[in-house]
Amino acid sequence: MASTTRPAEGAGGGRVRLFLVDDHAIVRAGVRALLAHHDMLEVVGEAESGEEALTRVVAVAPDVVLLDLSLPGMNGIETARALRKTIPAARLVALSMHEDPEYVQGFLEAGGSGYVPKSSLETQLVDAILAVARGEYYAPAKLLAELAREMAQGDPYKHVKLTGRELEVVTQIAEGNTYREIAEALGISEKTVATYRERASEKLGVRSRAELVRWAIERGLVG
Amino acid sequence: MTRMRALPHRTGTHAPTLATSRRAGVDDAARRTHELETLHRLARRVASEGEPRLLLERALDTLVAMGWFTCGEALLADDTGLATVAVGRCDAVDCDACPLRDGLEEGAREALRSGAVTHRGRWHLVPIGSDALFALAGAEDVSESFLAAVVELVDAALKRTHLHARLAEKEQQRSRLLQAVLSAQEEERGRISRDLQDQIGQSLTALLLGLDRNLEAPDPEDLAKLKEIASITLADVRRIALDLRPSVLDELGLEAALRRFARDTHERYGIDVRVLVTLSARLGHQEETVLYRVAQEALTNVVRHAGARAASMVVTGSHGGVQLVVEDDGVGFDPGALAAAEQVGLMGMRERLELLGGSLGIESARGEGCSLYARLPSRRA
Repeated sequence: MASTTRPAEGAGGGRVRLFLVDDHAIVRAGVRALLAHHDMLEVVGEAESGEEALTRVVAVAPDVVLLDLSLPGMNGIETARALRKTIPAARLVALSMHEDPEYVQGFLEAGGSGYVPKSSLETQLVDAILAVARGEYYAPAKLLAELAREMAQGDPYKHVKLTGRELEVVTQIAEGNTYREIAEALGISEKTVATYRERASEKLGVRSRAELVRWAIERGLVG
Repeated sequence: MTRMRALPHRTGTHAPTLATSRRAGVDDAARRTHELETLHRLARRVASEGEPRLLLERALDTLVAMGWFTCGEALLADDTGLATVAVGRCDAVDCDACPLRDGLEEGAREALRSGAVTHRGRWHLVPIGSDALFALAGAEDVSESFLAAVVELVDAALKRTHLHARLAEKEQQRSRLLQAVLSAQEEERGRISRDLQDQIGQSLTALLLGLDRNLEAPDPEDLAKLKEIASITLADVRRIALDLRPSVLDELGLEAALRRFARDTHERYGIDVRVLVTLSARLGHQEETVLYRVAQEALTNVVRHAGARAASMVVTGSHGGVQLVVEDDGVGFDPGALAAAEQVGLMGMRERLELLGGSLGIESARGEGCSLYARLPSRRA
């Protein structure tokens, strides 16, 4: 029933129906005021918590839910996950205090489509709503760039062959053993453990423990 | 003759019986009674003493006063060697033990090495545990079982004093830690209070005044400035909140919080911090908090002391639980020779981990960076 009564989104010419979730009345009022002049946009309901939103959205069947990420009780990420199950057709836009790529990633993984920092609601909110209503994704370029940089961290490994001992030491390190534990297990000195690790790291072209352990996991040396 | 001397001669009630009786059975019974009484007194006298030297002195006193020996010394081994720490006063006028005193240490060392009672002239050299010894003079027929009982009793009491000392030291460490935690907390509160007052308070005051001004006569240029103040204030609030407790930890979990912190550290100090978290599910709230705080403290130490270019924070499931390793490529240090402030820091981390049944390990050496291992067991359902 919801889908039949709902107007076509964005490009179809109908108005985009919005549902607003934020625990601060003043923010809700501000967002309403901000969107008031747009003929394309219509706020059809609001809630002050994730729990309340979940009980009300089904009846309202909005096209887009604007979701504060810092909600008391059920937090924004949890609410996003639950909303994806309750009203899978609706697109989710986060209104967030946080300008961190981790939040963008977390929200997208929870099923969100758009991300707008609260500091730039004025300039980005409408763009974000229209974009997700068209089926696109939206996040500030700066945050996306940071996210991309983090994901690109770690150069490809050099293709080399480690010796048996080097492999053993790397495996033990990836299993989280201390040098002392490794030295004991392999019957060599801690100094030798360090030497094997250095050689392996040099061959693989990695500098950090994080990269070395990741390599071991990708190679299936540890679970 | 010597036999008689060795028998109790200051016991009052027992002495007449012994003196008049020639029957071995009675002799034996009296001896055993006296042994028991001695042990009883010995136990009572050492029970309340917590200081090893005083304890040994009391024990000697009792043994001499009860007539088993004419005199004696207690020796205690420490890093510098064997030293006499207590002397049981001797009333005998013509004691022939004292001339032998000179060669005593050598015999004592031998007895301690062998762990068995040895004899040197009139001296019984009686090792107690591995680092204390009684040199007792004047008796030749003390029963072995009695001596063994004395040794056992004094040894147990000595061990108790060591335990007490360790406990007291641990208690002192805890109280130092608590002091440090309290003053750090107070300092933090002061900083937050100042931040709120100086930054947020000032900005909001400026905003109020500006809004008043514009209520009377609206001025778009002025309003734009006020808006700028509001955004700066918002950024300040975010920073203060982040310093207090990153909400990313609650909302997104340990990996996101560590990445956030790593990026922050990189931006502020230029250290390249790589993060790898291979957990398939989120940990418990307490576990996440403890590991985050340990990582924070460890990386802060790296920034302050290590002179590192790169660091790693790796969280993996291992050893039947979860493990965080914070590692840097800095100057390293000798874990055995840390300044007091760093020790308190490490102790704080260790305490946090131990509260959840975990442990802390550190491997470092000069010039070789440092690896800090924080382990937590899986929480049982």
